Amino acid sequence: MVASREKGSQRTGILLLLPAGILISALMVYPVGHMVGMAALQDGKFAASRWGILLYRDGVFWKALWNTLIFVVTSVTGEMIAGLLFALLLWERQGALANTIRGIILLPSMLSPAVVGIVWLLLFYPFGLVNWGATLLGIGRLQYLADSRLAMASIVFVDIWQWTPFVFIFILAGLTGMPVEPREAARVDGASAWQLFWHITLPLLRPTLAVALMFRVIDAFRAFDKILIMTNGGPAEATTILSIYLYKVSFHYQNWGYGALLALILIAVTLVFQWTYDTFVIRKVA
Amino acid sequence: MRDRKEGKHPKSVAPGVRAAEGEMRIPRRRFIQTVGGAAAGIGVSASWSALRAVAYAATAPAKELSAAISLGPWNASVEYLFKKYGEATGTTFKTTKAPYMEHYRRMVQAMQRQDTSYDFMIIDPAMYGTIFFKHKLVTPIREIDPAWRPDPNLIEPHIRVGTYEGTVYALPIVGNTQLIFYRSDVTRAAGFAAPPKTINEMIEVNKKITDPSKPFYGCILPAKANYDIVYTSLAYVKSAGGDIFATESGPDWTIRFTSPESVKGFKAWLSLRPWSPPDSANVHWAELMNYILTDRAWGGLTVAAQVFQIDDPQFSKVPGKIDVTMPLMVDGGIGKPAPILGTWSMAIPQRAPNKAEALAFMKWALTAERQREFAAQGGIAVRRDVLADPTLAKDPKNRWFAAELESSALGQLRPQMEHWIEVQDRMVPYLQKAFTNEMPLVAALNGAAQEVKELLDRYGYKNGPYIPAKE
Repeated sequence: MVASREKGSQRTGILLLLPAGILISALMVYPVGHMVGMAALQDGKFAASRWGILLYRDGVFWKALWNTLIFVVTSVTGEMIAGLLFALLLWERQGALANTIRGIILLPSMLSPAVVGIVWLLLFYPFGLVNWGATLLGIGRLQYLADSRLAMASIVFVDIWQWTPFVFIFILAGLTGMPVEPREAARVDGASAWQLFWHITLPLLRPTLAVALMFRVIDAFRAFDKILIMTNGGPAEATTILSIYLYKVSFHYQNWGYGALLALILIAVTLVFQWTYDTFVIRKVA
Repeated sequence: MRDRKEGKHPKSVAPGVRAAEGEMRIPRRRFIQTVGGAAAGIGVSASWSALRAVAYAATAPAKELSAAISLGPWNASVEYLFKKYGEATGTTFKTTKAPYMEHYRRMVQAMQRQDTSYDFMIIDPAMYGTIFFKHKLVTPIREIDPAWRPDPNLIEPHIRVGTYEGTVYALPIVGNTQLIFYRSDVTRAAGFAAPPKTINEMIEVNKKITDPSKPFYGCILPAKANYDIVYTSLAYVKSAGGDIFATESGPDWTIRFTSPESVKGFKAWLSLRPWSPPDSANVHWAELMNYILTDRAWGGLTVAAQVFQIDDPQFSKVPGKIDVTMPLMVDGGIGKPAPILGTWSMAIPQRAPNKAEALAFMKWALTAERQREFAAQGGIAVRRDVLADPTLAKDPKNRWFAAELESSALGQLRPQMEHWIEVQDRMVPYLQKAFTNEMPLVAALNGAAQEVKELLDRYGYKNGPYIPAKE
């Protein structure tokens, strides 16, 4: 009786979920399927092997892939460290000042990446605020976006500036929800601030950090707008990441098949990361 | 027991729920009133809309033309023509605008899917026209009007930009070409009576006027990772007698940018680098103009379309002090400057619903009288008689007309090939490396040539072995 009722309620649940499921599948599966079709066929003929050979020989693709990995690793590492630092600094602080600082820290993440790109393009100008400050400090004027040795670092810096607040708020939420007893017990036992952080806070924070990191990595793989505005992938392809390259291939060269293949590679790279990370990190720390 | 209770729960409250349902039931009269009221409202509204449609149809203008244009400083002057044409003929214009690359993407996609949304579009044929012309995505002008002949006063190179394999597909509207915008007061103060004409003269001016301590730079070379670096350097390469390929429009696409003449042109271009601002590798035309307008540089080679802001105090800290002259000649080259055309042209899509009406507008817009009005509104005329008109030339705000006419008449095309954008993208990183001294010029050109050759072979362009660049 109970079993049949449970079965019935399960069936109802599935039925209720069905419309949303169909909609999501249509919205997810169809575009990806269409993209696979675009990558595999051209004028009704199988083209994937041709794209494969092209990909193997395409030096810009390999450079873009390398640049993407550099960008993702450095920017996310920076965001995680800065976000953690800010969260620890403002954790358990009360009062108007702390609230104001929290609000200010969150501002960059509220801006659209296009606006961030324009703002930093102006700030990095030879006569912009950054160079003005650098001159005052005796560093002199640097070509942050025009020098291929500095361009990627500048882009990474801007990404850290924009997305640290996201990590900060994530970690702050994790810290706020943390049980107080272990810390208090350790404090009573005479643990130092560093010991408290390393042996109590950080282990308890691991699930939060793991999820924040996953969100940021997935998002960093999709970075596009800021880079397009600030450097357009230059100078000398120093900031050409996969999303920029696939945009050029698809929309500038009108090579939709190859562009679709590049997009699938970007999705695959992200999925491989997500699967590996989910299997080896998230499940262990959660 | 508990399960049973939970299982029976909904039934146990059923009477109460029924009572609540009873309270929530809408009385029949009220229901009829509400539905009837809504139906009456919809009826009145529909009748009103129908009446308006009938009234509109009775007084509607003769036609509506749908035009797609790229966002640019010349939009106002083109839209002025739309307005005047509307006043003259009753035709209205529905305009779709988008930034440069977005406009290009939209148009290519619209034409490829045989879209019938546009009656005509304004495109940059020198950059990407071949995609439209080769695949007949736009209509040849003579297919609509077999009697059409270009007015002899239309500057020929501007017509050539819209011509592919002898067929005219697009008619010019904005005579965008390359010009040097420069500070005439600074030039005079440095002891030069006239603006420099050659690279060597430019170097002399650069030496006298550049002051990094202020800072104030000389001739700016825009070298951002878009197409500016190719567009700018090509003017010097062509003036030196070089080119990108053996032929401008095929069929021989053998690489020529590594030839001794081309190397000479690239070297001439790079010889100006020491006086260009340090961030030139990320400078686009907008930034180039910003340098000049904010009194931070002498000038630079850019597109004529930038002229709108030189005397406007809203943009310029030095209104009235910026003049315009011809692009520089490379010493020992072909003996004349080689401005690269960036003409904006009007083309009619293959599936345009109102082709004849669109062409009628295009012909009307190119008459001397309309072009005069167009120029008065800040547009860049494409007619010789307008740019050389002594009455117009007298006006100081038109002081750039003579240079524009000369530059247009000498105007050069970029390669008319379908994959020109991709070829440029192969060249840009190498030219940037040469520009930033990351790679010697010769090595950079050979690297670019290798990649471009691979591209040409892949797409099946007929080409022979190229001569590698040498010192």
